[in-house]
Amino acid sequence: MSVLVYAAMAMVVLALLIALVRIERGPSILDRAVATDVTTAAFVALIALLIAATGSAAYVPLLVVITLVGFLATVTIARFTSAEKAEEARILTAEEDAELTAREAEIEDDDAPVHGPDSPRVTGEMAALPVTRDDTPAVEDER
Amino acid sequence: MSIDNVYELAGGILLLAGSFLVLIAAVAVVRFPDLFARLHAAAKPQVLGLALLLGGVALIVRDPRIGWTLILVVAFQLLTAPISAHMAGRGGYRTGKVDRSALVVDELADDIEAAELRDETGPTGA
Repeated sequence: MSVLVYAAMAMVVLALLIALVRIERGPSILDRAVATDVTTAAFVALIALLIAATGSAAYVPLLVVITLVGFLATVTIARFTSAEKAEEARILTAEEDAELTAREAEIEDDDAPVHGPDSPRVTGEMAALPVTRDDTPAVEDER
Repeated sequence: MSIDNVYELAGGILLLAGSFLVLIAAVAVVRFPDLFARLHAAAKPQVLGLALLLGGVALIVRDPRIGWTLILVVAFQLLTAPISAHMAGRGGYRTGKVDRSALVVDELADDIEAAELRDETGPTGA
């Protein structure tokens, strides 16, 4: 009987390692989140196999907690990609990073705030841009 | 061969089936081409795989306290797994990570179009 349990454990550990490949490759953060869901399912499976192998009830609360809380990470990630829409701009290539740093260096400390509470809300395609300093003339007019 | 052996053999087979589903999901998540296909594959071990595994555990352990808690675990998973799958799919669709031309049915596009039309012409329009 324990042979079957150990074979199942080997399959689950193999599944964990394979799912790590997708977490590493991406390409988008949601693909990584989905792969993380698979690793969570594999962990739950490992704990269930541990209960079967030892017959101990000590690990059962662990299963309850993981099934109740495990989905929160994916929901949070999906929520914030939905809201910001600038996910690609957060992971910058070296050139984009250099350009962004150069643009930031040009700004004086006394300039208008980039994200003032009264500045117009940037929506649509403009929201995908990493920096929106050129789009806040309203605040400068007031000064 | 006593009845205990039959229970343990059946439980072991269920454990093996559930673990195999986890392995299939991991392979599919690596090999499938786009987000929705991966999402579809990833939801399998969360529901059916977990039910098979915990059924196997219940057959092997045969303790009513553990058995009822495991049923509770499956119920929780049935509640939470669709939430994460729905949010990941919605986030992928709305941030343009999905090839819309590959979809057979696309009801959300109609709703988004209707909402944009309402925002432009409705009482709260700009």
